Amino acid sequence: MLLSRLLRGWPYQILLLPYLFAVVFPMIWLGYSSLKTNLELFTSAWALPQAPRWDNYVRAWSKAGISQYFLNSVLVTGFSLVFTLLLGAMIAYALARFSFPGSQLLYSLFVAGMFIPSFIGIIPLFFLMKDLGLLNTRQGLIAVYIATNLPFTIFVLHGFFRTLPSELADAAEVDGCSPIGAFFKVILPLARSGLVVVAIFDFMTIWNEYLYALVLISDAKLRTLPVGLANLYVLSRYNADWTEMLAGLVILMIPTLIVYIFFQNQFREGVTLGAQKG
Amino acid sequence: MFPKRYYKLVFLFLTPGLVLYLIFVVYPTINAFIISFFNWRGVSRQMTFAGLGNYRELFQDPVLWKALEHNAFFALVFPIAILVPAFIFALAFQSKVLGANLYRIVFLFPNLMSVTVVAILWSFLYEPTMGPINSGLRLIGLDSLARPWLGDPKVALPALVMPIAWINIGFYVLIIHAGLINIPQDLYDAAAMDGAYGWKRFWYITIPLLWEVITIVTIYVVAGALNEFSIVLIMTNGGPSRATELLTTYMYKMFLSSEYGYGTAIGVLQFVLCVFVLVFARRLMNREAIEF
Repeated sequence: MLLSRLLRGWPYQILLLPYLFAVVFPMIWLGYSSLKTNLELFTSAWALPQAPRWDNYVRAWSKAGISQYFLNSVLVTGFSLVFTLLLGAMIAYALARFSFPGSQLLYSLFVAGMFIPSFIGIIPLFFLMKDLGLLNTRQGLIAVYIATNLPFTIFVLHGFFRTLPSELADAAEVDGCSPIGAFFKVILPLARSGLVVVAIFDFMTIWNEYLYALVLISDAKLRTLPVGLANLYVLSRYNADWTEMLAGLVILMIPTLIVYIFFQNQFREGVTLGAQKG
Repeated sequence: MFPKRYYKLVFLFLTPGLVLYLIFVVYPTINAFIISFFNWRGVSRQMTFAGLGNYRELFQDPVLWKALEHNAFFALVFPIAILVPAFIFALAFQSKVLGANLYRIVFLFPNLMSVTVVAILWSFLYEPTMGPINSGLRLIGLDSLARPWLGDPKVALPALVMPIAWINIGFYVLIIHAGLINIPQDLYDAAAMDGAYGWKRFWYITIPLLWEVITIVTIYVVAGALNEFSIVLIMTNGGPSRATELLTTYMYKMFLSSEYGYGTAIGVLQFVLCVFVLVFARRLMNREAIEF
């Protein structure tokens, strides 16, 4: 009985196992290669390091300025996330609960934003930021991230709020709460699971974002992690401190990995949620 | 359903986000269309109206046509490289193969890494002399297969498909799998009673009921082929000798050389292509939705 369960669909393993290797191996390789010396790396790609060289990480963190990039990413992602969720929830609620002339149009306007590739407006955006004095500032980048992540956030939360009965807020208002207060005290806490899912996806999108961060920030001290690292990569082609580069990659990867491990279920839920809605 | 006392809430709630959205998303998008009709290069704000001049130049530009070719290559190859494995794996998970949960978890992870990490990591993997791929090939005696993956114009573009597929397969497996488990088991049971197994059941039940999902993921993947940017920029920068140039990388280079009017025209072209593909694909894949 157990054996037949284990052997279920066994032909698939012929394809599944190699792909598993294809996914896992690069990351394992990255892990142990980041602990090698440059010489070891050049001599043999596959060999294990003789002794783990943690100083690669120290160098990546301090000398290469990765700590600065990390800090920038944390700041930018943190603020963007908080405000995207807050403003997104507010808009999603206003549009979900109340129908007034134009509410459908507004909703469509936001949702359409999910399908517009970020590419097209990049040049006008660059000059707009320049005119507003927001070019090369973290605040500017945050503003852009909020604006560009609102569509998806609103889309998901809107669907979520529609499933919440309006009697809940009404009841709170009967008890003397203002409508706005009702939102913050009653509705929002109930939306926690939806907020978590959206937060995770927004976090991933913003933390890993490359294009806007590349174009809108040129000051090395203000760069976010993806851009900073890519820049280092181009430079390290000339000074060949590869292991430092590899250590930097691991540093970039770790927060994502941690979030993924802890919020495993929410990720899968989120993807399938999207699948059902889409 | 909209009593006066809610006016304040709605106004207060809508305004901040809407303002940000209008300024940083809507305005630049509309502005892009307008700018594409002007000649604008250099730092000064001087723009001279050029009508369709930029577009005319664009269509005579050999680099643009090359880029389009490359995007078209991606548009054809991505669905195969990404969706075929994703579909097979989704079917595997549906039949509750051993380790399905583990596979699901691991396969998704590349999707969540920063594109920078993927791009640089795979650049290392592809390294001609010290990368594990070539080293591995040499170790098992397949020296002849080892080549400068990203440095050879003939191989570079296909080579880029690997990391991109690597990122996306895990994601699409989940979506297709979600679609698969939505098909009620009774349908399969009823078909089994009528003697339909294996291939028949796949063709007559699974595919039609999954068609909506198939359409959507295909459109997404093809749209992704048109919008691809970061991986290519970081790994090859459109090289070697434009062998991997895309619409997006070309546009970015126009931006860097201050060719703003021309660059925006490329962006508009890309947008139009996207819409065209969307409409065309939708039309092509339209079938009656099966209600169950």
